[in-house]
Amino acid sequence: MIVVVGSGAGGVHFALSLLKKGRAVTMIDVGKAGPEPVAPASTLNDLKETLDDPSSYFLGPRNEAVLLPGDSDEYYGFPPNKQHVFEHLPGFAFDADGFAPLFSFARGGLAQAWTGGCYPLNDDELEAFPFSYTEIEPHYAEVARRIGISGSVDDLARFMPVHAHLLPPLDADPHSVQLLEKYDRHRDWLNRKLGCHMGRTRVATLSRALDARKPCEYLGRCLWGCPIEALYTPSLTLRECLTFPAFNYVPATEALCFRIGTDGRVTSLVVRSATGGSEQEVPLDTLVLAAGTLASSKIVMSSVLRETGETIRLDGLMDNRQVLVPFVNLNMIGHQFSAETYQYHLVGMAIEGDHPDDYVHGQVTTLKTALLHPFIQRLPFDMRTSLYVTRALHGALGLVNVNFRDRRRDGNYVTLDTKPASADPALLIHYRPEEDEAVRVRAGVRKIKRALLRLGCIVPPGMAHVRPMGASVHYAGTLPMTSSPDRWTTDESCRSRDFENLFFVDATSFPFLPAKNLTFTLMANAVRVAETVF
Amino acid sequence: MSAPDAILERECATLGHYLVGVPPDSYVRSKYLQAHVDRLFDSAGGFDRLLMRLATSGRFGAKLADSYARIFSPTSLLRRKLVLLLAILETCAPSFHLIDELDSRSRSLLVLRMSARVAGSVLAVVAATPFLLPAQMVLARKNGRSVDR
Repeated sequence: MIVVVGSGAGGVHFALSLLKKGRAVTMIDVGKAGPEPVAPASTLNDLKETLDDPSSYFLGPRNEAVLLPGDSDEYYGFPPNKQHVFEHLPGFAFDADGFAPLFSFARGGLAQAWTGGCYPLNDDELEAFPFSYTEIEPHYAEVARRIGISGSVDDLARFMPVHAHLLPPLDADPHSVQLLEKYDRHRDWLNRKLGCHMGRTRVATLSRALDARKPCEYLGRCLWGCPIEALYTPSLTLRECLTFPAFNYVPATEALCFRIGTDGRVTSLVVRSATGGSEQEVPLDTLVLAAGTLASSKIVMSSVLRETGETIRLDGLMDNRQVLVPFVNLNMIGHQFSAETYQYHLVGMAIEGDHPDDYVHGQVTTLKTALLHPFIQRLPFDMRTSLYVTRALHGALGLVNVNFRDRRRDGNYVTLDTKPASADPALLIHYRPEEDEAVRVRAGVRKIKRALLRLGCIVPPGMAHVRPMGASVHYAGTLPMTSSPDRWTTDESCRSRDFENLFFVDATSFPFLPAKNLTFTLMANAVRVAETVF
Repeated sequence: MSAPDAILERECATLGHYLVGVPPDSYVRSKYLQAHVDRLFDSAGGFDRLLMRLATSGRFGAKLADSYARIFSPTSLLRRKLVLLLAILETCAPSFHLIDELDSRSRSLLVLRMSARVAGSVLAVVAATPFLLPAQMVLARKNGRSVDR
């Protein structure tokens, strides 16, 4: 029996590939579900006009999504109908030093709250991986065929290979169009002086119908969850898995650890109800962990502790540093924004470095229906003036989400807290940035600002926000694919070198974390493992 | 309606009028009251109470108190209440129109009006500081806390 833990992006695509090959799969999942979409045909402004209690929909019944002064430095909070994605599991204890982790026990995992960026890695970025782009391209194509990815073949193609099944791009809002037109006029200077290239982002949102899913209808509700499933989330693939008789989905169940036989193979998975209670064992032939790097690592470490008494430390934890750079496009002042447009990023920025590892990845979101109160409160004026200024500039506002790569390093690790002794020890996370990270980040952000200035956009002083490590939720690297047969590594098939029937199809096994969002590669790798090993 | 509710209603009416130029409707007032029932705010210290009294005295008082607080007490109770009220106003009709819709499409007119309002905000800080800063320092000393920056 093949048992998969977790219904996130990697787990569901691995499971679907096996099911299509006629294999049986059991999926163990906590699987917290979110609310059903409200009034799916309504636009965002329709909801504000027609709901009996619109404030509760947008802010939460207890105003959970309101960011009050002093509570957070973020420019946006999680909308109430996505709170379940980050809802914690009682009893899942952790402590973090230098890291602000987010965990998901949701049906579909963390990508239930993602913004859909899908960027294939190129050969430079895959250098540390045991496969080239040519080898993983068929699996990128298969994922694209399954989920629907929209984008263009443009200047960003030199950084993002063009795979099969790329749908036409979504309709761009006027602000995004203006940015791209300005880029066209200043392309040569931006390319030569800053190594800055721009184009359309590739997003897992349908511009055309795909199977039973409708294309984007520009309702403007993206930030609160696409009500018509035009934006892909892994729960859609889970739904597809559920149509297979050979798929056994076991929700409301937490995987704690696995048992190890005398031959060193995994024999069973120890689980318990997500609401607590006694432990049970699920016998298995193959265990596939897809619970996310932190949770998958905890399962491995808990297993070793229980079975051998050894407390292991898994080094090499990675995450992308993110910087949010808000800007005002002077050319768009006086434009009235439209809420009935696609709300997530449509424009991408790629900043070349001296070395491919120094590539910096930017996604440009023109702010339209995002809640304004987190931004307004940060302007250095009274609220009434800040509100007027924001209203006047709203059609000109944008935000660049800038991602930086990370490398595996000893000293960035996860382990278990065994003092005091506990049947379910807490996960300990320790992280320190690279010594030169501050320099790299400053240089990268400076280039972004200069590029924006060339495009006629200014960044208000002091408003770039360096997010804490852990905020990007692109965790990876604690049990990496390596060529050397070291302990606590995996081979090129993401098979554990310590337990021959244990596999990882989340980012636990990634040996390097490029600046690009990793979810597309995570899904493609899961399909690769399913197709090549099983 | 209880006395505390009546105070919160008046507070919401004054602060809402200050923010968007019209008194908030019954839905907004009910959400504002509910947020206080849900204990969204801690109990107020001496300076917080002073700022709230000034802010709820009228739009001019609100301007002075808010302008000062933005610089010298950005996480004060007044600022937190204003942000909550703004969040409610931007998520419901008809107030979201007042927040979303431009009053002019002329770039130069918008820039002129923004400049005038920013200048007014600066003047308000200058006007409020001579009496609010000493009050804040005295009340902070009484509470054993330093000036919140």
